[in-house]
Amino acid sequence: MDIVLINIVPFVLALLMVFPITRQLLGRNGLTWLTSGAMAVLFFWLLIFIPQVADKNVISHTYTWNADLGLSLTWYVDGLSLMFALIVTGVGSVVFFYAGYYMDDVTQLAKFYGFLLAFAGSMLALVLAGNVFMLFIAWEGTSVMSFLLIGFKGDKDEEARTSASRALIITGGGGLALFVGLMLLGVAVNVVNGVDLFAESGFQLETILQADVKSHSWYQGFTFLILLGAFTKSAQFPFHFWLPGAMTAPSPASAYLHSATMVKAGVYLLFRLYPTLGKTNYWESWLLFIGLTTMFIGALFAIRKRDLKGLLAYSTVSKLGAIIAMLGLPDSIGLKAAAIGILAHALYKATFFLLAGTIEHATGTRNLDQLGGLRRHLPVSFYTAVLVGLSMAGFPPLLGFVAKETLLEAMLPEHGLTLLPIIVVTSASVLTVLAAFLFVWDVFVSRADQQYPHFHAPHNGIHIGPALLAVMSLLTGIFIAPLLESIVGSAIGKDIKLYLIPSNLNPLENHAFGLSLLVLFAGPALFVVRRYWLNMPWFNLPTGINLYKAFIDIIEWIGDQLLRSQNGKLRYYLAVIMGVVSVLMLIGGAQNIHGLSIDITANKAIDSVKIMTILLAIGSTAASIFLRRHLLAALSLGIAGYAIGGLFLLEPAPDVALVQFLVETLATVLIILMIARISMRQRREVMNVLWDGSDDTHFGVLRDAAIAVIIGMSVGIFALAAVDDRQARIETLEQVEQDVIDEGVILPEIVRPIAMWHLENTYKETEATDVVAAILADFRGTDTLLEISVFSLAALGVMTLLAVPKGREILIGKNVRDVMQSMAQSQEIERQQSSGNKLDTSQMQQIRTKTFPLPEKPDQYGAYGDEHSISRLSTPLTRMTATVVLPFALLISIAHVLYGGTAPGDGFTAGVVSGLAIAVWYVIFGYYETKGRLWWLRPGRLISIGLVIALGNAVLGMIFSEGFLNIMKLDVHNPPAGLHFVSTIVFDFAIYLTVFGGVTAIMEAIAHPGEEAL
Amino acid sequence: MNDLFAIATGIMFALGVFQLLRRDMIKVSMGFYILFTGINFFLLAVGVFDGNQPAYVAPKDDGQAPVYLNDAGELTGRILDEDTGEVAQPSDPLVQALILTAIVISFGSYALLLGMINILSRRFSTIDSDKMDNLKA
Repeated sequence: MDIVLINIVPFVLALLMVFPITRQLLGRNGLTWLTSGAMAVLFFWLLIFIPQVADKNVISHTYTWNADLGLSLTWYVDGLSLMFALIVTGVGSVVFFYAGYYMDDVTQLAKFYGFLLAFAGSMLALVLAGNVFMLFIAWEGTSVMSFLLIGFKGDKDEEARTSASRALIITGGGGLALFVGLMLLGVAVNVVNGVDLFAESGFQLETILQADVKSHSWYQGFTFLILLGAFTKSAQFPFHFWLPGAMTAPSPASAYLHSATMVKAGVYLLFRLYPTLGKTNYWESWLLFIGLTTMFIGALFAIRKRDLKGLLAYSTVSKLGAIIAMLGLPDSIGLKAAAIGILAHALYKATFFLLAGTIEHATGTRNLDQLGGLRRHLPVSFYTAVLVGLSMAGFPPLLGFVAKETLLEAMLPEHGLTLLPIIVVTSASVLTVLAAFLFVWDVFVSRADQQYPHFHAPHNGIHIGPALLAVMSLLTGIFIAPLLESIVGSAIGKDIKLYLIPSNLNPLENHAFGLSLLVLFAGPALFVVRRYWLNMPWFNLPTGINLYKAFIDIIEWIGDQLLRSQNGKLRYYLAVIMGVVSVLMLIGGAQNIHGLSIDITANKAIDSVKIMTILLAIGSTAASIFLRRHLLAALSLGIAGYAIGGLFLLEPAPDVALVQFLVETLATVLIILMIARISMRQRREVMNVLWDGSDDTHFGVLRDAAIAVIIGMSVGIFALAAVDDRQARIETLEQVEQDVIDEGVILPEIVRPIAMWHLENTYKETEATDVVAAILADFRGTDTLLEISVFSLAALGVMTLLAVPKGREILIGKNVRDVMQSMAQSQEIERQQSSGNKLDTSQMQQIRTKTFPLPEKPDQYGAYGDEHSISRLSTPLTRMTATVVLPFALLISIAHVLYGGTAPGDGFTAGVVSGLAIAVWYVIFGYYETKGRLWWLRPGRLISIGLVIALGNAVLGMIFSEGFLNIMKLDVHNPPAGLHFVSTIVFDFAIYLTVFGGVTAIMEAIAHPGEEAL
Repeated sequence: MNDLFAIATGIMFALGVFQLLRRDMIKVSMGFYILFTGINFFLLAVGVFDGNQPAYVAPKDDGQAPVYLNDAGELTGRILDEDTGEVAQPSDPLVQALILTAIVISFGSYALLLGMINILSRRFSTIDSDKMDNLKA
């Protein structure tokens, strides 16, 4: 459990950093102490685990995440995990402390801490992960945080952005390979263990470590993919170039991510899977080849770099290569060397990066040619640099020496290798020594008189972190060998002995020691004579970055080519999509058309009427295509709608027919009003080109017709098949029922169509005789609740779409008198402008604040309207009719609501009936008068009240009845007027209010004067 | 008979898709409306039974209601025509309920669509979709 807590702490802190209050409360110092203190606590907490894991115990903890998918979070701690976790928290603590003095701006600091903490959490999760899913998620988490940190200054620095995305593409791409590799590995483990292919156990680290998959036929495949993941993450040749690019990150991040921890994730993974995948020829040749190449190339590039962090980055690449190569050795001595190497490198290289940060912070540059003589200005940094420089070069008694000794010893031909590895390693080590000397000398010693006009002395606290790490390099080298032995020993699962002073000091007999001495002499010697050879023009080796660039170029080229096929016209996209769909339907559906029978015999007299009605509906729908004029097309669609209503009546489905008639009327009014809002010029323009493509050919019509016919046929066949299937089921059902009667077995409820159940139980459950209404308001009440929500959303959508004339204030929802004021002001401005008056802003403002006299009574509001608002239909007769119609419509609606359960009509029809009356008002009285006279009608309020009642009713059902929207009945003897007091009436009333509000909103939005009217 | 509705569904879809591909935005909106209708046809087609009476069920035999629950609570249809032996059978209530809400919702969507076309016409001062090619920057 402890281990889970340890893992969670950084995430919790990262979350805290999100809130501005944290940094306001704590300030710079508070943030620094909180984060670095927390990491230090975690470090010491982890130290407690050492005795446990030193006895090769494994601590694990599992938390089931999703049992159905077999996913769980597993933490797994052994020596190896612990070693990495200690580095993450230990170096982390120092880096956090350092960053507090490095970052100038406290807001930036909090953001930086947030990223770093989230990274620390992911990295801990990575090294403590006990199954491959968690490992992969954490792996990607570190990649993402690395991306964010590399691009930390990306808002100002374009290079930071490029580097960040490059790093993400490389490590993320590797991550994908890794994921596939791990999945295959898991499956292979399951195969070997003889369990289900996707059983959870195969993806658990514990099982993987014990499984023998080396002889599995997939071995080379998944090993390659996993290696690819590890190599990209650990910046191995040819993917190494992202790491030098990553130096755009703030230095503390470079120290933490790009030297001490994240780039070691690949190393960790290979180390972790060594027992399962290692010790085969395939493994060894890959690791040795890639590792040694990287080591040499990195060292070679490092000494040529004049950028401080570039030098460090390449030397990191080199060291990572060395560690990878060591993991490729057949002997476990390689593991020991790798573990020591990881530890030593984490200590000295992180220090170097922090120093580079200090130097850049103080001088504003990190170019070696512009630096020098800093010994005077930054003495503490100088001594620190000397100490870690010696460790990097491998001088005794520092930890770097021990690391180099073990490295050289591991690479000796005595372990069955050729001479080549030891030559490569030795020469790379010489170059590393040279790099360390270059750093210390060129920055601190040479050109002692170098002047720094903008020198900015850093806070003393900035020196504490690097110095602490440097001293650790020294102390671990000398004193705490036993502790290291237990850590490293448990990491590689073997007892080992570390020595500071080799047992045999004769360089000719102890080859490793001899080579070590050679390196220590050759490095400085090369350094002394560097001016004779270092700046010689070398040919530039092709690096991975060229490959990467070529790859990106190809992708962009493909993108450009694809862009050419885009013409930006939406309906062609639609045509392409539908065309593809129709082709797929032709291919896929054609094989399935068999055994479909079409039966359109008119059995009953009524059937022929139905056929005629359908033909009418189809015919007038088709007419809407051919009619050029919009109004006529809309009317013909309306006729089709009425025909369909008639069809429902014949079905017989009176409830649906009623709604269909009402909605069709409303829809026709709606489209005519909408069309009227669009200018005649625009409409003429499209009417004239009804059959023309924009390229003056008629090919488009044929193409569209073909697409339409194919889709129509496919849908028709699909519908036929569905009907057929339905018919077949009914026949089976009848057969079963017959059997039941014959044999006296009880028919299982489930076999019956649900509609039967509805018919039989409506009255029992809801006291309603209208089954359709009961289904709407009760059986499928939740559905209806959602549907009225959708409807009101659509209505509000119309309102918001039309409410904002371009550049003017929102009209809808305002008091009508305010709207008229604003209208009068606009008219005044327009009048003055048209009479040649040029108005400046202040004059405009003046008019805008002026109050114009308005008519008192709503009856006279119409005068303020425009030609869109005043209707030609406004005659005394129509006004009279509309005035009378409204109260009647409301009464009819109430009746529909109250008797919805026993007669046609329900909340929906009620809402549409009232809405129609309002529509009539808008048409006859115009916007202003309607708004003025019906001031109490607020569509938004109606919708919200309706939804609140519906929800309240539903929740009450939960309290007083059996559940959400469950029916509640009130027992009233001899109810007046045949009413049934059930809660569905309340729900129907809510539906009524919502639909009424929605329709009113739509009508108001359409009727209000648009921009052109203003 | 249901087969006829299935075929009508197909025809409606063909007409709707064709309208959808016009360059006139008003016609496009009509295309959507036709598709909505097509879907209603489909729902009607897959109803379980071809009834001859509205889906109203009287709680008990009142001597008039064509469909009622008998004393045992079973659904019972009155014999409508002694000569043909035609029995009253309610139409499928479930598909009706589905269609009913579908109609109202499609009206809402239609209104939203028309509102959008209005905005488009204001912004581009055309309702010819071929002339709105700002998608390609």
